[in-house]
Amino acid sequence: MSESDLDMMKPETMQSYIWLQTSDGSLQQVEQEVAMFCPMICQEVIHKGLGSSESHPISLPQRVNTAMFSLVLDYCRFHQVPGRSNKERKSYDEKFMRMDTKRLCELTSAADSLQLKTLVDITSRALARIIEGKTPEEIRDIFHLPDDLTEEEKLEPLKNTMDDPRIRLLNRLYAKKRKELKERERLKNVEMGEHVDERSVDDLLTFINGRDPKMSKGKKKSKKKKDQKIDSSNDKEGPEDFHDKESHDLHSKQQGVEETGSREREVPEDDIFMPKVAGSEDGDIDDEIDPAMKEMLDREVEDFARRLNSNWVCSLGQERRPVHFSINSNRTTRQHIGNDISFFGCIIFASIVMLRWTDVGYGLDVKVNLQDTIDELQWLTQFWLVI
Amino acid sequence: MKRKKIDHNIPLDLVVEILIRLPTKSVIKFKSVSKIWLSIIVSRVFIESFASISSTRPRFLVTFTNGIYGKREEKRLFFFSSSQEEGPESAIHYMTLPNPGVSTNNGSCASVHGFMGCQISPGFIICNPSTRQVILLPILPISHCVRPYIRSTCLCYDPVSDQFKAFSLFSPLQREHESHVQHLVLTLKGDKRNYSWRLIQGNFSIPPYYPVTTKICIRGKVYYGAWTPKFGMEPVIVCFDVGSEKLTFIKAHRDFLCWQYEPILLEYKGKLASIIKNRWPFEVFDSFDFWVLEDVEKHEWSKHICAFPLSCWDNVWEGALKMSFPGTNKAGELIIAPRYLQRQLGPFYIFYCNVETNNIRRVRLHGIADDEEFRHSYGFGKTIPGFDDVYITPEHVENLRVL
Repeated sequence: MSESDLDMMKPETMQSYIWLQTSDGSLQQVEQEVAMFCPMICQEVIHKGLGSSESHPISLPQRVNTAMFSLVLDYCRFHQVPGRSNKERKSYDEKFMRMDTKRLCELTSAADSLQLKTLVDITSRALARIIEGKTPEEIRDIFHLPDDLTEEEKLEPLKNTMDDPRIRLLNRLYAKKRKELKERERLKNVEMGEHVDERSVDDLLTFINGRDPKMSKGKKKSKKKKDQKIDSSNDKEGPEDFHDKESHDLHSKQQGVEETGSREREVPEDDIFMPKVAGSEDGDIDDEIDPAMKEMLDREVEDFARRLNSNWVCSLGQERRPVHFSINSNRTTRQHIGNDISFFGCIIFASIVMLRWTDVGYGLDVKVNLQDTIDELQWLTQFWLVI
Repeated sequence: MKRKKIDHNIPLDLVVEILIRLPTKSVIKFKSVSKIWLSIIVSRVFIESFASISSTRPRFLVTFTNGIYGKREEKRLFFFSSSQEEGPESAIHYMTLPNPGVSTNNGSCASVHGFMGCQISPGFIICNPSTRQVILLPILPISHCVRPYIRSTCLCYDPVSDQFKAFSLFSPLQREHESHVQHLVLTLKGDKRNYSWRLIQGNFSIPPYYPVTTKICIRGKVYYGAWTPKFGMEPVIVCFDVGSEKLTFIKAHRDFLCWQYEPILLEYKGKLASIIKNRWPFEVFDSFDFWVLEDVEKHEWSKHICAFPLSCWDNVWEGALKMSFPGTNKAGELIIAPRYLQRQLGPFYIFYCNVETNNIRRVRLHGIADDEEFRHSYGFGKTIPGFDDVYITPEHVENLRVL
């Protein structure tokens, strides 16, 4: 049957028409070339042989009603003519797309069911441009979508950002503040757009930072809480901070020592493994330039050396001379540190030193050995802190 | 016509068509429209098609810090991006990471299929500027590598299995002895709390080498320069296949490794390429050797020498003359960009060099710390120069994936 039908459709029969029936029942007679522009109609004609007569029309999909169909036909009628330039086509498309959102949606549906990819493309783009700046509420309104997400789920995109609970809190505050700002915007009707949001976030940050400097300090991992505190202590300049907590002392001293060490070697771009407590890259930078900082670090190192020396010696007796501290000071003042934590820390340190002493023998400079042992301590203390 | 609510609903595949054509920010915002839209947006199919559309119009991503040291609260890592379509001259603000502590010694902060990996001492952070997701990787385990050692990490992507992995090396610092390098991999899959580093298989059967340059990930392979078996002997490029986790060595020219820690490997039209400037890095240069790895199996390199007039460096602040070669753009032009921001307020220039025609052109990128208010409020220029690093990814893909 199809064969004879195809014969019928040869160009000899000039103005052949195709019969189509829209979803609301109206019969249409459309020029063949125009109708065949739609792949779906094309398929129906060729494979099923429909549309050749009034009694066997092609029934169009449900989404294609009369009004939409006439729009589609207009589009096809324009574009199926081969002689048009790209510019012409583009300007036609732009004019064509000027209709309200509802009709655009319907048109997109219709074009999609007729498999008219180009029309789908331009209508989708137009719709995308329209909904781009809208709020989720407006979207729900346009597309008649139910508001079925919980408050929790709505804040999900913000929640995903950082793992640190403090940052999550910050984000929630931002979200609230953003909502407030948007309300104010709507009331005032100011044309600032997204820019306001960006600013407000930064403002918030400074606001929150200004109010509560503790909120943004430190690393994102809760495991590293102790290091975070060390960060803050290291940042503040001046030795008085190093008398804060004895345990902090220990870590910050390590930092001081390791930084001295790093300065001595060339610093390649890859990360040299030192027990890099979070703030230590600051130390690297300092090392490279600031002599004042250098002095301070030297002082820290001395201090550290003294403390460890004294602790170590009094906890273990005189088996080993703390040779590795001789880089910075010969003083061995017996400061008694009455704090349990640092004492314990020193015991661990000492034991590691004893264990690792044999490993350390590459003929490298002394500072390297020190870092070596320090990183062991660091690792162990992490472990210990977890316990 | 009576309005029937069902008829006016757009079918789901059309919602996809519309969403795919939206900018990233809008898509993220529309995750909170309704359950159906949320399920569409997080579906794998949608994410993949969005990423592939985005890779046809990649964004030019510029990352820079405000160079403050000492006061961690004030440190920021800024991400600015500009689109080729909207006019490549102006960058818009993308995201800001507060308090990042990015290690400024490390030269790598490049985007791999939409995700950026930054070395933040002591750990490694992975962030996606599109979804604003930030993941801090677990600390590398203590290695039994010879002390002291260098540890470096990079993010890599395997397009075949659509998986992101972090690849880390422990290698001894000393150069006198042959040393085995430890290679660790962390696959970013599944529950973040279960992320763990593991040694690659057959780690100890890999011949000793001394890695030198920073790493680059091209099409599922990580490349970096090294000497084997020890420093100063045979120069090679090590190639790590992300999918199969196997290493191979590619013979290279000695010159590749002469300025050891300069990141000189880049991607050129899908292949590995290397730039050798025959001058000290801080100097103005007017020519460079451009090597391209034409055949990976046969280790064949082709060399071009590019020369251009020195006048193109006019009006560029001296401190910004330390240049890096972050990669190429869609037109195949090499991008030359400054490593550091200017201390004073001034324009930010990017240079595009066409290797074939030896033509170099300069484009000013607006919006990169060239606004007085911006600089003032974030404390730019207060520090010693050289710490407001700039990292550029010329072909940044917007990936909506949430790891």
